[in-house]
Amino acid sequence: MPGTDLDQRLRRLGEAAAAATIPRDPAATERAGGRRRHARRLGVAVALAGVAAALVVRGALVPRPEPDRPAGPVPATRQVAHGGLVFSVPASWQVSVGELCPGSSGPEAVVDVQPDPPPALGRELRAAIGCGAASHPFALLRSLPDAHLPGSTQRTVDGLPVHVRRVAPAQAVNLGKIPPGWSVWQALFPTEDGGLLLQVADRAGAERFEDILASVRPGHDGGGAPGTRRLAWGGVSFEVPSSWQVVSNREDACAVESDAVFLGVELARTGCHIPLRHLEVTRLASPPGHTVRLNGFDVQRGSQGGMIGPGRSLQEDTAELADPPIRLRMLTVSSTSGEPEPRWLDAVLVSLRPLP
Amino acid sequence: MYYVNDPSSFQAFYAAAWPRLVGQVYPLTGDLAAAEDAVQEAMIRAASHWGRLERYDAPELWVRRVAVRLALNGFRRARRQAALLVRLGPPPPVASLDPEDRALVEALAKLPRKYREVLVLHHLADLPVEQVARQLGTPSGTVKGRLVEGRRRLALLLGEEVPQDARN
Repeated sequence: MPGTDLDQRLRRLGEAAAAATIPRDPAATERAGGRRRHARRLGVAVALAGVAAALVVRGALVPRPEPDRPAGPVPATRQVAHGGLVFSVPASWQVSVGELCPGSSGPEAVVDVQPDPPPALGRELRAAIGCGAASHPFALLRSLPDAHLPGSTQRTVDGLPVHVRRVAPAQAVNLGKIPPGWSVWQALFPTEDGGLLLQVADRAGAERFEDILASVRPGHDGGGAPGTRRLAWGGVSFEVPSSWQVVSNREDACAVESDAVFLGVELARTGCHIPLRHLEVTRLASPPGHTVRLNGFDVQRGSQGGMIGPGRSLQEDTAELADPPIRLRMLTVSSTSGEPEPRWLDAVLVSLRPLP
Repeated sequence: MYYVNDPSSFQAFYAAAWPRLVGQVYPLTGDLAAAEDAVQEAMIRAASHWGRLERYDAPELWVRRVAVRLALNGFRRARRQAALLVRLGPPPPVASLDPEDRALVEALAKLPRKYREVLVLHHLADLPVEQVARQLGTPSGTVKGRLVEGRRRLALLLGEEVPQDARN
């Protein structure tokens, strides 16, 4: 076949494919890239195949599921614990950990993970990245090494002193992507280790900020999202959706299709099908090396994903705790054309509590 | 030209480059969905490095290199492996092609990978031999030899006359 003829025929073939293909969502692709970049910066990218070898199950502990919440009115808020304080945010808000583009896909409360000790205000680890402007209100929680907030006024919330100020969107923490004209308020609570910053950005003024600010109380008991229940395993407790099946022995593992929590059961060793959406909680042989401080725990986050078939993606999110040494691994298979999956593992992480 | 420091430059790049890239990867895979998957994965990787890539003269070259590598190597392997793990539905129908194009796709699929990749990169992606060599990490002389042999084999598979330059 002459080269010029092959040129033309291959080009025609490529043009036919180019005409037939439908681009996927550029914004979602950008966000997925941002999540990988974030995981990489935390030094925690984990190879899917190699992970199982690093885990050692030290005998499954007996799970101690706590009873479901009593029937009653659906709570209007959920609690996000960070740095020794608890904040109430609307129950409809998503809770995210280390989200790079807050408010881009829906209202949310973001816990901004940082190393310990955290960098000072204005010295965030992340520069502004390629996010579009926020389109939904969001709250951001971030630890600081001190309690200095220039130009603020002091108030008292539930007996706690707090420094409050309003800033221009361009001066907001970590971001420059808050639309001009939005209201951005910051509150800084002095803590034993420095300070804890609450920042709320909203197009509708200060009302939402005041609601969240008024809800702050000392404590470590995050969670309380509607439709969840609290499980205990391996020295911690955490919340998962009430409808999810809890599996704590290998014999039951193969019967699960989706939406399950495996406690002390390493699926890779069972030979079962992998459920389409599940959380696996197992013991770690050794604590992780590079951690950030999250809700009182030293955590190493990991994230990776990829396409696994036409229109389907596989996302694996992991969190390894230093003390107690356990590993949480959330795996989700989802359609790339549908609604984005909630941040399941993030919600679990912000509800983590140590067992007494 | 992309817009340095423009927050939406990746999305503009994505929209412009997607059809071209899928069109270039498709002859390698012979499967539109697989080509799209490889390009999408390459795009996600590009997004995760966009701060650096957007300063390149042609970030599309980087994405194409990744997509081609994914299409040829680990991505397909990983995809097969993942498909064993999860229950996937049937693939959607691929692009409708005329019989001549379909015959070319099938013939390309039968070619050993080393010939297929040089033919596609040189003839479809318009890369000079030296760039194909750099992209594949192969000497230029080897690329030239594979181009000749690839065209000869392709002609045989298509039942056509073997080109003069491939007879020697």
